[in-house]
Amino acid sequence: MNAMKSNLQRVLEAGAFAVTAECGPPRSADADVVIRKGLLLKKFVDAVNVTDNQTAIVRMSSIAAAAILKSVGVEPVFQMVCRDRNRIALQSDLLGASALGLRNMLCLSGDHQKFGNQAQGKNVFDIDSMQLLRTVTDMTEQGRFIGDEFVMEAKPQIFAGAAENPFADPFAYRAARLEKKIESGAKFIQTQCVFNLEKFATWMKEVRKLGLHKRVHILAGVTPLKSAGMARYMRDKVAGMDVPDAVIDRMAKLKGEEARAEGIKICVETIQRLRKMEGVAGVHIMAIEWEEAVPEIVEKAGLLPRP
Amino acid sequence: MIVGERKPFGEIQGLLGRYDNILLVGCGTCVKVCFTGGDKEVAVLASQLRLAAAKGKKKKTISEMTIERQCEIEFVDEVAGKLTGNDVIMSMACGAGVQMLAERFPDTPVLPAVNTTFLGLLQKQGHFVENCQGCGTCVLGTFGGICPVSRCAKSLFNGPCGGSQNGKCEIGGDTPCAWQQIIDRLAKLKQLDNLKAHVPPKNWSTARHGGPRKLIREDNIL
Amino acid sequence: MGNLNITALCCSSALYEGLKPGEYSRAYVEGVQIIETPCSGKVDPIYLLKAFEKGADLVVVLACDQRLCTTLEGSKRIHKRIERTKLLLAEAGLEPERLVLRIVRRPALKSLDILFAGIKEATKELGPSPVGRNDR
Repeated sequence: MNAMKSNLQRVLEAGAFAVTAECGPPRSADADVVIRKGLLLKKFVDAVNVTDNQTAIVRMSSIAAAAILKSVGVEPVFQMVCRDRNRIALQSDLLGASALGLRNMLCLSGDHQKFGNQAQGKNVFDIDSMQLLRTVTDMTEQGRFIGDEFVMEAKPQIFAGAAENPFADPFAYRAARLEKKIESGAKFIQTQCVFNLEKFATWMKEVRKLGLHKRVHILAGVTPLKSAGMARYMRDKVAGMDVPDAVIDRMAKLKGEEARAEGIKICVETIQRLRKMEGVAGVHIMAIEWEEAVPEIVEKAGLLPRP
Repeated sequence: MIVGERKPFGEIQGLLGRYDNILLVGCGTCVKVCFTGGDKEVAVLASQLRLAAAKGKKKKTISEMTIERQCEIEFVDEVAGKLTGNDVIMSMACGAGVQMLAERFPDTPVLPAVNTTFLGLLQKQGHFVENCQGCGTCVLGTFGGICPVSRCAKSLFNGPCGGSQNGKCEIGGDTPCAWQQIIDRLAKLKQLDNLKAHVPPKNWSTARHGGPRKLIREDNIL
Repeated sequence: MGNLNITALCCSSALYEGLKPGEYSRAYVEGVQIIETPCSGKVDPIYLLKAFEKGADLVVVLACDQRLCTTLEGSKRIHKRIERTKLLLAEAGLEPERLVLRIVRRPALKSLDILFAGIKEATKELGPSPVGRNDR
């Protein structure tokens, strides 16, 4: 059974501070882009998330890109959103993913399609992310599909997680929602990127009060800022994002290389502060279209070598 | 009520382009209530079509009629009396009404003047909002009378997504987050425990996903 | 300019309210078909469209200031209805400027000639309605 465990699962269960990063698949059929990004990150992280048509823009499928990463020795975390596929497709893809040797997955609702390049499409939302989590759990533990008596012989082996946004509303309900996800079978959580450490600490306090940090591995999200413009964009245009003025001010007067260096500095400081928080089991670095920054961040945060 | 909006005038003119004698039929129920296809709206559209025809030096006759409801045959039968001399019927009712007319008058082309949109209510003056999707398995009792199917953009059942901010949905347009509303209401009713239990995958077979639906009441058939 | 067909829907309070005994006379302006309404709130878009159908080149609505409306909310409604009717006219291919709303000081009877002279001056570029003069 231990041989079936993913690297990420092993690292988290050993109690080591885990590091994951994110890789956005290309808007093309180019496998080399995926390989390049994977190899860049390989030595610096325990696993790499592959997003699933993020912001509803068509990209290479998460499972395909994840399989490509696996083929070059990089452990992936494939993602599944509920927006685009019904329960038949989702369960089918879970079987396929497991058969391809993909062992980690993240369950998400998915950004509404109006944000992407297919805004006129139908959305699905046959099941929600909580129901998807439970489905993965039933498939991996019982070998059962939704509402079906049939028991499959070779059960999928998947370490399932969910996303959580400590900064979204209703704020008071967020810890209760996390508990529900744990009960649905979430084994790890990756949060939305943290800039507001005070608010995050408040959320962690609520989480610890309910003992949830002992039942699920929480990886706090971080994102290095490239510029003040990017910081402001995230604050104003991205739903559920909290970027305090203090952070914007630090980036405000800087340009180019200086701005990026400061962005990395803020990211590293954030990681260091997160490591000190009880209940934070790791960090999830989302350096979208700036994967090259990850090695430097991991190194400067003192997280090398990886176990 | 069923809510719809009149089609853009240019599209209506396009649809009517090849016809000279038009019977415009309104409906006195849902579309009247949302100011889209009642007797007043029929009069206005007819007037606009005449003005446009006169401007374009075209000879068109526009007849007008409004019946109580276009979704019931006993009212639709009344249209027969005004059909003579007209080569097309344009209905200002919802899609159901248009189709009832088409079924009743198979030898006359029937065109829609309205884009039917949703099942909803009049929330306040001039504001009509969607709040029922006809899913066939109503669970409003669990969610404090606020429907997650129709009012949550993602039809989530186990709580809000990460895009909820300040009580608003990530899709914008000032759309309220249904889950914020559900939580607030259940909190007020002291029934937040309703949300503790996991809600399993919905049975969509009773919704349109299972195919076009029908209701048959044998006890009402003589 | 003097040949334009003008139809005016005038609130009777706007015309006559405040006249002293003996000052009353039927509202009349040469070349203008005056239709008295019990309140500007009675005016629906259809009346305005019909006036254009019957060959009006200009349609004028006279209403009282919102704060003085004797039916309380009547003249509050006319503003939005005028906006809506302008949209409807534009859709049908008529210039929205052919529809004119004037909020008048009561009693407007006393200054009707000047009022309409001013309106004619302001709309003189418009010319006859593209719809023509036939009653449909």
